[in-house]
Amino acid sequence: MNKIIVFKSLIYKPYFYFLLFLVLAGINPFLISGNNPYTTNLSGRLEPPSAEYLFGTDNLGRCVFSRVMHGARISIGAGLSILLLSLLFGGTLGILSGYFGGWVDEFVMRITDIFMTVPTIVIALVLAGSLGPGTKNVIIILSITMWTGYARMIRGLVLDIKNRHYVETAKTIGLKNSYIMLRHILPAILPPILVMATLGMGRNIIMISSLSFLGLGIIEPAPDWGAMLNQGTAYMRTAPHMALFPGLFISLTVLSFNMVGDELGSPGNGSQFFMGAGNPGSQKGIR
Amino acid sequence: MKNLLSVKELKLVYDSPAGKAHALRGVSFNVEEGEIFGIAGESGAGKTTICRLLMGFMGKNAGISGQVYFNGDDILKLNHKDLYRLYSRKIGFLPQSIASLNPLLTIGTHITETLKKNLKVKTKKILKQKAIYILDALEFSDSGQVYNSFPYQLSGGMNQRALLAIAFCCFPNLVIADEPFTGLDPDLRDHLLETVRILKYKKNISMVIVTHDLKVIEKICDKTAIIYNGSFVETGETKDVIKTPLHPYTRSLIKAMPENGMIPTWGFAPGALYNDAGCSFQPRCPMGSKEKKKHIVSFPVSAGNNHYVWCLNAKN
Amino acid sequence: MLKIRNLSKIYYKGLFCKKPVFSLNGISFDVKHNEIFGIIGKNGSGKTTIAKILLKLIKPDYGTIFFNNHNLLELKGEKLRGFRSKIQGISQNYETALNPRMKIKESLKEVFLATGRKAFNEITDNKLEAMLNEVGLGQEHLNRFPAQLSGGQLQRINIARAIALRPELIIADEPTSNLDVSVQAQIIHLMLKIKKKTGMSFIFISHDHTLISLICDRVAIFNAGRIIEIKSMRNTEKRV
Repeated sequence: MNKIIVFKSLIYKPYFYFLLFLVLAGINPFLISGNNPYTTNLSGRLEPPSAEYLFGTDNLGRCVFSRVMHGARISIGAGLSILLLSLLFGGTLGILSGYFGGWVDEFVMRITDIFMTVPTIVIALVLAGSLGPGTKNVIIILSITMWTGYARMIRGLVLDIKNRHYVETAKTIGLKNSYIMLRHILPAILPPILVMATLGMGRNIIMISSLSFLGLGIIEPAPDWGAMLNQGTAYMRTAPHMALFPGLFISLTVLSFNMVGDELGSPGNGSQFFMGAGNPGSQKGIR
Repeated sequence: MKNLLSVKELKLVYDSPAGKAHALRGVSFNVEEGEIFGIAGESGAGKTTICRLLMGFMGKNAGISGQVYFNGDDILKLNHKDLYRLYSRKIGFLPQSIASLNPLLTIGTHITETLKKNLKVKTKKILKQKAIYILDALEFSDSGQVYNSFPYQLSGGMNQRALLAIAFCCFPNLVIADEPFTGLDPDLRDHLLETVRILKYKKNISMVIVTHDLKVIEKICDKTAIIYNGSFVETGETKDVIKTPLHPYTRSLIKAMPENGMIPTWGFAPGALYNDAGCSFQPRCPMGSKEKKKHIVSFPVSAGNNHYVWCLNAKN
Repeated sequence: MLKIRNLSKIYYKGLFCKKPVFSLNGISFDVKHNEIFGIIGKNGSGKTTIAKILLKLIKPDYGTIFFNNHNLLELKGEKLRGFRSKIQGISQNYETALNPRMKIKESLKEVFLATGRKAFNEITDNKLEAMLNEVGLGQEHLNRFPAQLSGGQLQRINIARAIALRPELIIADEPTSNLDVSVQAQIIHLMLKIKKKTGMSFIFISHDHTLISLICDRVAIFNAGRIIEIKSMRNTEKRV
């Protein structure tokens, strides 16, 4: 009920519509662009933008526009999968670790320490080297590298909530731990998690693009934006449009996700959100 | 005696999803120099709202009407800078909750910060001396240690005394206290009441004390106002209001004290959304509830010696 | 019913040289059936510590607690959960004891989860309304949130939650300290009415002498973690 009020302020923001547009493209790219992203046309290579090819053609004569649109599906789809996997895994460990404390907490924290000592990109490269390229592998690799951040943050949030009086009262009544975690702790930490998730999407997209740019991610001829950027760099002088559009879309998409996260975190326009202070019905008067 | 604080027809109305909410329905009172004015009532009757309005904490809200004159200026109309200049030096604030203390600063820092801002004293030694002086006055057994302690190291009662120290450290003309003694042991509370009374005589400090504890009112307040559902129901000298209460609500409060048998009066206050013109206590009133007609009380009835009652049955 | 012998709890003060501080030092007392047992003392004398220990939120360092001849300190897991319904608590922070995001209806209903999913599913709105009526509230409060209710109403809801599973002992830790006199009178009368109807015992913690002498059968006076005296209040002028 209250999430709807939050989204109301998003209606006024242009980046929200951009993201909606991308999601639509992700669901069915052919709605947006009629051209096939894989058809090569060697006679029409490196053409600048025109009426038929909105973003021009690349070095194999493929339509850059349709490739960018199909790339949306990869970026957002893979990004979302990575987000869900890492959030589920990291979140569960974070909640258990924060709630139970003691040796459970120690154990989980030492594991996250081990993962966090190695820089993300190094783990990603090593895993990519051994697993090889491919969308599915990219999702696995990035989920493994990114869950630790969520675990840490969520554990911190849980530590704060678990000492609240109403959680103590729930224990006194004799309610099960699993119930307390699901019904009392989880709803209280959802707002910050939501913000983390939107910012995380931005990070995921950059990571996917980086891996593909290095040639370790999505395999050719799949139109991932990072891979397109990689191919386009060779033609920057003669056909800049080939790198420009994928690069632009990466930037705009990450920026939009960040701004949505920002808006959810500090809502304007009279939206109510429970970032700790506001509570349902906190407008006094009804007795 | 000059009027230090003069409040006229202070109202606060705001819009809520369920209609217009009246947090305060027009209260007026005066506080003279060197006088302690007590406001007693239930939680939710509007006491904290009065405190915040008197301090000017609520800004230029459209729903506020009325005037609050302090030394000739209307607090509600002052700009931020002038208002800020009054804080701590002329008007001190004593908050209800010890969460108002910054957990990262020692008590000493809290006090010396206030002193520095208001007294233009910069020497650390003198600031510390003044801080220890006020801490001693508040009956701390080891003021030096309290000076260097953080809020979490002190008990709740000690933190409340620290708040008192911060409010009084610059000896302002007027201190507005929001439930200052709630949650303290009875002995400690009595000790502090004595201290406050001594401070009042020595430095001629006036106070507005908002509380629900009638014993506090009895012990140090010169004048009292009883508030119910956003408006005053009885005002006057404390001895008149407590010893000879005239309004049925005041009577119910006195009866409910454990010393007097703890006799309850059932029912709840109607709340800020109550929009009828009549007496809001009537449904629960032992006298008024039997009458079919709604009491409309626009003017208080005077019972002599500045004792006013907003009740039609007051003569009984 | 409740036998406490030689209970002690130690906290360590100081950063480097840890000094032991006894928040409870050799506490022993009994609480009988259908009795209001008062605990009075200054802030910091150990009153809240004993409440938390009895509610099994913290563990004592020495001593024994027997409840109906069961050793309370050795109960764990499922058995402990079964016993929790026999000892319930009400604290002075009426507002924070309820989850601010849950409606009163849900807060009341969740208490029954402690007796099992089946019992929980069988609770009807009528039963919830009856619970509210028992504490002097009405059906209109079911769909409200805690932030919309006054202190007195919230404390009543806490009482309703505490008595829902019909415990044998209620630990009331300064239940009326943050309430004004008139609401305090209502709440105390409500508690006495409940005691009369169900025969529950209360451990009533307060720092108000007059209040304690009015309603308690016996009183333990706490000071610095020890019991100075246990007085019987039967011969003082009071009303039940």
